Order: sequence, then structure tokens, then C-alpha cells
Amino acid sequence: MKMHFKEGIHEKNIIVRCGADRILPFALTFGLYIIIYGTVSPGGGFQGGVTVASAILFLYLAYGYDKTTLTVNPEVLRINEAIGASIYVILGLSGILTGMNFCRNWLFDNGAVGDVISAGTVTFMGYTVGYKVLTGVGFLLILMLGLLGPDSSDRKPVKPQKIDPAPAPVVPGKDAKLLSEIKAEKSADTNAEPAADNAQSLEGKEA
Amino acid sequence: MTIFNYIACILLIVLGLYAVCTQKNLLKTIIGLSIIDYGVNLLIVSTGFNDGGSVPIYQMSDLLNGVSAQFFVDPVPQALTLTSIVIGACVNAMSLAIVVMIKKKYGSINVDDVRRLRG
Amino acid sequence: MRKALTILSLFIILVCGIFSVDYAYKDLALTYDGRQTDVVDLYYHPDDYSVNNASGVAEIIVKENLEKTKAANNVAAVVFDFRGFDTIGESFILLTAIAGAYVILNGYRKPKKEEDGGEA
Repeated sequence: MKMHFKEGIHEKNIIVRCGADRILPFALTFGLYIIIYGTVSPGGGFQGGVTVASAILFLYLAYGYDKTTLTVNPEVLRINEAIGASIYVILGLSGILTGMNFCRNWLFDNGAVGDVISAGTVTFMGYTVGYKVLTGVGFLLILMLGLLGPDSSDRKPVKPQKIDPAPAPVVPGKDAKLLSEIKAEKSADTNAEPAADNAQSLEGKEA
Repeated sequence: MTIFNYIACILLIVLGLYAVCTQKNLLKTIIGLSIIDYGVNLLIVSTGFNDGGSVPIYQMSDLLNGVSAQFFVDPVPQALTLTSIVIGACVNAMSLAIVVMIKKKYGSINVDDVRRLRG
Repeated sequence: MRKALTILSLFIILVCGIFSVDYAYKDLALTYDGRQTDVVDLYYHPDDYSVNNASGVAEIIVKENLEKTKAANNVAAVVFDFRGFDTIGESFILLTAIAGAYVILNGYRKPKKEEDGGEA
């Protein structure tokens, strides 16, 4: 069975790529909704962070490892994870700056029950933890997939098989040859073989 | 009937112990370690159950119309299980990294081949 | 012989576990009996409920949550406000595990890179 490859479209992966293209924005927005409405509906920081980090798996399945690292740089993810942890500690220390104990909810009176930003530092700590889990789990996924995936740089690269392009069509008027010339070419090829056979049979008859 | 929850937790813990004790492949040992974690988390959450209670979130539209019952289940074990789940995932990640380096250095994941510590 | 001993000891653990779980289900008291607290009444009249004779931590948390944090999600309020110090420890466990995995897997690729540089 012959497979014809068009230029630029790798036909084996097209179903996986189309499916991942449809599902990826849904995963991102749903995970962001779970993080932002952490204090109002079921969910919170940890759950939403892991859901957003699953978008990197979709990218890897559809496009391969090299294009995933072009989109999401692992060095940036690694630095942002440490920044997220530091901001959580700074939010906890702000309770000391206002005169009360560590990790104190000193903004608790700024909204009605049921609003998005209603619970004071609980909401902001939830956002920070969601950001930290997002970047951390994403970096871990890229790290492990880079070493052990099927298109990592440890294995020898598989050279793509070259397929002969289709022969150029004969355009009447340009490459036209006279019938006599074509017959002369054919007879020149076929004359050489029976001449060799005749020479051998003549030698056999003589000897 | 939470008695079935408790029996399932005990079954999961014993299954995990069996996998850790008798398997020769290192990956199967790590899977057994994770199964013990899942069983313990389920046990912690199941202790805080009130029969017929609702989820511990103030959804006033449901509570006023009588869609869900008007008393809560215990929220404290659910909050402590969140931490335990994250710890289980982190232990899994680090142990798998160690298995990758063992395979690179010794050449096999079988426990019997990796026994001698070579300098 | 060794395998038979292992399976026998695991079976004994299973039987003891089922007996203890049966005892815990029937004879131990619940950690928090929520039937004594009407949630809608608690939402509208929070002053009627006092915590002087509380039977555990969960009862105090459920009764005092709305006036202290105004969060509708009780579990998020427990994780980030009442037990916020545990969440700091959990964040740092995540950081340590990922940093540890990165450091351990750092020596995975270097010799092969040298080989590729020599061959190609």
C-alpha cells in the first residue's frame, strides 16, 4: 500500500492533531474557571492547577516534543514555580505587617458571601497556589517526556524515506519526438542482444 | 453504607503490600506503593460521612428549595486528604526518577540483578 | 515456602483489618454529627449558635466559618485559613520533589552528547 505524502502535512497524525486542537482550549478555560472560582464552587488551587497542566500533554501528543518546547519553555516554567512559592510566603508575612499573627486573614470584610473576591487572603492564596501547581506539574511533565519519549534525542534519528516524485507528465508539443526516432532507439536496444546470441551460436557451429 | 468503603480500603492496602513484597520488577513495586496511598486517602475521607448530608458548600438556591439536605458532612478530613494526595504524587515522581537512573547505571530493572552495590 | 508464608501473613492482616473496620463502624462515635446544625438557620442567624460546649474541632469550624472568613466553600477556608500553615509545607514538598527529580535526571544525557559529537 502506497502512501502519498503532501508537502507539510504528515498524514499519519492528522486525526490526533485535529482532536487535540478541539479539546485544548476547553481544558485551559475549564481549569482557569476552577482556579478563579475557588472559594465559591467546588475546586480550588490544587485541582485547577493540575487541570491546566494537562494541556501540555495535548500539545505533546499532537505536535511532538520539539514544537512543545518552542511553545512552552521549560526554563521559564522552572523559574515561575519558585516565584509562586515565594509570593505565598509573602502573603502570609503580610499578616505580621498589620500587627497580627502569621497567615492571618486581614481582608475578610471586603465583599458579600458568594462573590468571586469575597474571602480576603483565602482567594489570593488560592490563586498563588494554583499558579505554582500549574507551572510545577507542567515542568515535571516536559522533563520526563523529553528523556523518555519516542522522539527524544537519545535514540538515533529515523531518516525519512525518500519517495520518488511522480514522473513528469509528457507535455505534447515540447518533448515530442518523431516516431522514427523512437523506433530507432528501440531497435538499437534490441539489436545488441540478438547480435551477442548470434555470435555465440556461430562460434558453437564453427567449433 | 460506608462499611463497603472501609472494606475496600483494607483490600487496597493489602493488595499494595502484596505488590511491594513479592514483585521482582521495580516499576511494579512503585505501583504497589501508590496503591497503598490511595487506600489510606479513601479511609481518611470516609470517616467523616454523615448519612444523608450534603457537600460542605453554601449553595443557598439548593438548600432553600430542599434539593439537598440541610446539614453538612465533615469538611476537615476532606481538607487534610488534599495534602496527602499531593504528597503521594511527589513521592511517585521522585522514585520514578531514581528508577530511570538505576536502569541507566545497571542495565536492568530486575531486583535480583541490582542487589550488589558496586563501587 | 517463602511465598506461602507471605500469603499467609497477608491473609491474617486482611482478616484483622476487616474485624477492626467492623468494630469502628458500629461502636466508635462519629467525628462530627452534622444533624444538630441547621445550615440555613446558621446562614441567616449566626448568633444563635454558640461554641461553648463543642464536641470537636469540626463543629467549631462549621459554626464560625461565615463570620470569620465569609467564604462559601468550607473546604477552601479550612485549607487556606484555618490550616494555612500546612499548605505552606505542602507547597514546599512540591517544590522539593520537582527540584530533586530535575537534579537526579541531570546526568542522564551528557555522555551520549559527547558520543554524538564524536560520531557526527
